Amino acid sequence: MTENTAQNKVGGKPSSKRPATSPAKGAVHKRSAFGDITNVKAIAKPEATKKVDSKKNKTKRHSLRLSKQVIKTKQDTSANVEKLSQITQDFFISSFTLLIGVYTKSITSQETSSSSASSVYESLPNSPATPTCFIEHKASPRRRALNFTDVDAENVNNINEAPEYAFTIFEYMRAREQSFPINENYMVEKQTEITPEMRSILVDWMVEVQENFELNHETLYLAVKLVDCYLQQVKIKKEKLQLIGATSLLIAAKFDERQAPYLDDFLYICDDAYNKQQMMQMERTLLKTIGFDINIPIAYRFLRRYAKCAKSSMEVLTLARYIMELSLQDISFIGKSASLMAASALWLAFKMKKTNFQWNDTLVYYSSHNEQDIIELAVQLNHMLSSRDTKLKTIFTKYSHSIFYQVAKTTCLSQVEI
Amino acid sequence: MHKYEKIEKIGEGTYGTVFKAKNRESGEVVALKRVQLDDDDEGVPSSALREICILKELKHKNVVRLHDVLHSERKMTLVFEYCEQDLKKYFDSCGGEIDRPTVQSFMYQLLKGLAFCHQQNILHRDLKPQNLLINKNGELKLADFGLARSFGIPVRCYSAEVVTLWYRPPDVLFGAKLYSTTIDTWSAGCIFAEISNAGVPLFPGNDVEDQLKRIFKVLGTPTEQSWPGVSKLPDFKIFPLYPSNAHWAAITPRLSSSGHDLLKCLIVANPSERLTASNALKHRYFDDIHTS
Repeated sequence: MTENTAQNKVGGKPSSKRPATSPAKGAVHKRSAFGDITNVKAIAKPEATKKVDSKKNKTKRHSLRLSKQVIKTKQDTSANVEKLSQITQDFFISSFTLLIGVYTKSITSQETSSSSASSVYESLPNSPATPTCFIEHKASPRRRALNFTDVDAENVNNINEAPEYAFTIFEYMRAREQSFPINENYMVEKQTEITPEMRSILVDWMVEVQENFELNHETLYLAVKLVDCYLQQVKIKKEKLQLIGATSLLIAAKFDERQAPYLDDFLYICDDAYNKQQMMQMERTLLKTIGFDINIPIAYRFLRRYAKCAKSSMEVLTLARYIMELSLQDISFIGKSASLMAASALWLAFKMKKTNFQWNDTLVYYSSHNEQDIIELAVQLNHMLSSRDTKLKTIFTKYSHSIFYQVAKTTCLSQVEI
Repeated sequence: MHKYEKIEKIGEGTYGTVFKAKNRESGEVVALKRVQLDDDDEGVPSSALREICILKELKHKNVVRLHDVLHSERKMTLVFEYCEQDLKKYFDSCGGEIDRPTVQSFMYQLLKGLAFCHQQNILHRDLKPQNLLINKNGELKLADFGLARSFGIPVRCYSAEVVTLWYRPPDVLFGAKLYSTTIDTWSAGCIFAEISNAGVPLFPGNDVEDQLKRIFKVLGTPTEQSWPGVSKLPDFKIFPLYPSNAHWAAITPRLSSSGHDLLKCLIVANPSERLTASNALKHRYFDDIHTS
């Protein structure tokens, strides 16, 4: 039997890899992230954007020798974090401890539900999936008192929405977020050679790589997290910044993609500024520094969930994605909770699309964020949109495309409107 | 590596060789999984990367514990808690019969570990007796997360080349790339039957077609009525219309009637009608575990 099963095993080894020629397929744009910021797209892109890009910026060079910026330490940061954790505790920590407790405490509490559950299966011999789980949400009483719609119950027959687990999973992810704090001030406290501007350029380039390699957005978000987790711990030389960005993408791709691009592909897009040994070394160093614990909750996953709970249109969701992707570039958001970022981006997107929209009880229930917590961050996001760095165009260009409903062109709100 | 003294080789994982070893300082016995890294390779293999990252996160008594990772230029060594044997070896040593309480306990622990993975958005995707470890206290632990992955909600398309043939569900055998947590509960069902029969596999197919045939001969060939969407699956093929012939009492004679009922709820061709691990734990088959 051992032989048999071994033979039959299909997975396990990295089987069919991307063709070795993968970078050539879409003429991957190679450049050093800091050598230029032209963003000339060699790949098929909407004509309009092509023109804008190539003509305006082709010759511009971005100087690496940016004057060291002193980032003003924001006094309110720690206050925000504290406030958030308080809400967290008050609002949903009970559910998480219960979740953990399931495994440690006596199982007697399950008895009642188990008997009723099995009778359900008895009566439905071939359709056992009448989950009762999500009705037993272990939310705090205050939260359960909300007038919410059971979103998971609506998906009861759609296993791909994991209706029985979704609630627990997102509770878990929100609790887990707190294990990955990012120091908002690491640029001034830890780094001497690199600046927030350089980080923005790096993220801009990473978005471009994500597009060209057709990577999942999860990969991009995770890679940016890895960059920040690393940079807040290790002081680096500016020449290494792109290597860190590329290696983070490599690691994130190996973790999330069905088939990650070759390591050589990543070297190529760095314009061969680094060699294989350097990247493999950086991969080891990065994983070791972060302690291999890289399944970090990302805003992108929260957004998909909250958009579902809000029954948002694709257009509003896409606008929220644009807002969140831009925020990856902006150092002032690196310390924010991914869950709160998703909620705020979604809220702002609804407002920008002038929809008749309310942050209702269902959204409060599933996101655990009240409207007043969201607005504060949404105002900051709106400010980010209206004062966008026009030199960095990748994300704007990407979301100006018609497949993304040209959401990047949506008019920003004034302070009054918000 | 000086920290551990190798005792003996104990097997091959999805990737890398596994050794029994002893911590020179503490004397603790551990399992070492060694992954060779080649110069012209891709750095850390994605299977090893996923296994490490996922096990760093999953801490449960029914999931094998990863103690440490030793990473050098040429190789990586994963340090695991040591378990005396895997379920496959247990079958070989059990003498052709496993008593009811043990069957129930193994199944309960398997589902506990699995539900825990799913609640932390991890799919295992390679459950089989060789990947279930059993220690001397009779504790069962999910191991070998080389094919595991984190999933989003809703799930996206993932690889269809997952799960060892005998434990692969019919949707994935038909090439489905969109699957969710019930990909693992099918395997759990197969393992349940195999435990109760003291190591006789439920569907030991030779190839994908034979595998599906064996399944349909028991469950009946699915139709668009019984399983909407089945004919749209990427590798769907037409099979003879076998009638449903699921005499679970004959297939697993040593199981109780509630055991048969649980098995019937797990071995369901349509993935959206298959029982999930968290609901399986509430099945009346486990009633006496809950009350004891």
